[in-house]
Amino acid sequence: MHDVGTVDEPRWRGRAEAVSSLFRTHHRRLVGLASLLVDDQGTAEDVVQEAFAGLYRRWWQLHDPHAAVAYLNRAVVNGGRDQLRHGRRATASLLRMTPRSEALPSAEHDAVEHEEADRMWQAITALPPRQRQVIVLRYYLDQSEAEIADTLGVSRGSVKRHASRGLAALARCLEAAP
Amino acid sequence: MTTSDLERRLTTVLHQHAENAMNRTHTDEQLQTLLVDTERDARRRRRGWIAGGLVAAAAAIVLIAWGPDLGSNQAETVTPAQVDTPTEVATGFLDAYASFDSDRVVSYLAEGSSRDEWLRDIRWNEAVGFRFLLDRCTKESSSPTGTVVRCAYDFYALRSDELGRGPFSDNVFTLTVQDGKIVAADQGLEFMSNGFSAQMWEPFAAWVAEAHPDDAAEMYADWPEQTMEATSDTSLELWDQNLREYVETEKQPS
Repeated sequence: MHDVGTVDEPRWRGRAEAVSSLFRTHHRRLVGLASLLVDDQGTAEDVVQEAFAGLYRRWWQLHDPHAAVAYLNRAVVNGGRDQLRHGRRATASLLRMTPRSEALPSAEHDAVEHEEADRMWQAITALPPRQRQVIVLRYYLDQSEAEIADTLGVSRGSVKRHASRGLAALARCLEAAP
Repeated sequence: MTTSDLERRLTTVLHQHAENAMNRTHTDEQLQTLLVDTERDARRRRRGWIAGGLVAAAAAIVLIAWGPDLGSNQAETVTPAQVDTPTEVATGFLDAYASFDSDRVVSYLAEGSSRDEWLRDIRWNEAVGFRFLLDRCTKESSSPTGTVVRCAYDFYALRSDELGRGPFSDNVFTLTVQDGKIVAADQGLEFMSNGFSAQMWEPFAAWVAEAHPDDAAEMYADWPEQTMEATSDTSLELWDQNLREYVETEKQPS
């Protein structure tokens, strides 16, 4: 489970300062999460920016400051899904997992690993949005079924079905690869 | 490939991809972008708060300490010999506005002015305990459309004086006077730079949203944004009531 940090900033300091503090603590982590839910870096950063802008607008509604981090997590997950639903998918990052300089075939073993990783990533991006969300929350954030259900606002049974179908789809894609 | 093997590879790929994205982003640059965008948005919204009454919000605020300050600061602009000059009209208008004297405010307004908005804002200013501290009024320029008078002022608001916060400075009213009447008004309210937003507006907004969320929904015209007051009768009662409670709460030792 990723550390989501704590929020000890008194509201008295003002929301701009408090939100800035949260940004410095959580931005990088959230960009990483968003990058798994959308298909390009720019869109991932946009999703995170919108999440923080939403937090800024709703700051006074957060009765518990710790709810800010939960809000950001949900906003990024839901924002990523919205991006995919609206078809704003980029193709630039679909074929490669790592920067080109790190993916040079310096060794045959590395090349094979990169190819497998690329195939896996392509298969992930081909999943329906809900399956992709469940897979990311389960295998990246290490969330339990109950936590995923809470994050997505769905039943545990639904989480189980999406996870199962997602894994099956990934397995089929990898086995079909030459 | 077994399920556990698939899960292991999947976990590795997800972490690699996320790590690459994290390494490519620039948090400081992104934060600057966020702050610029939110500040621009807040300025636009708060401008609506100010313009809603033409100047009203701050103007009404100001006036209680007006008289004593005039003597020391306005010698160059307001003297008995200048009665009925544009500067005197502007001063009289702001004095009426700060004293919540609706009839006198209306008497200064040119035909066609949005009197209802002025009266509404006066009522809100009174409900939230605005105090307007005039520094001085100075004739700025004259043209066929009127004489422009600028009036610098400090203010207390939202009962900040009772909490020892403020006065909040660097504000300027710009009034255009023609034929002895106010034909245009604009308020410069430096609510961000002078500390009013951070010391009063935002803390009170946070408090009322938490302590009385149902009231807050009635008190702010743009709820849940909380950048613009609502001026219905119910809202005014809630502003008055909740500000008094907020002050009492803040005064209590923590």
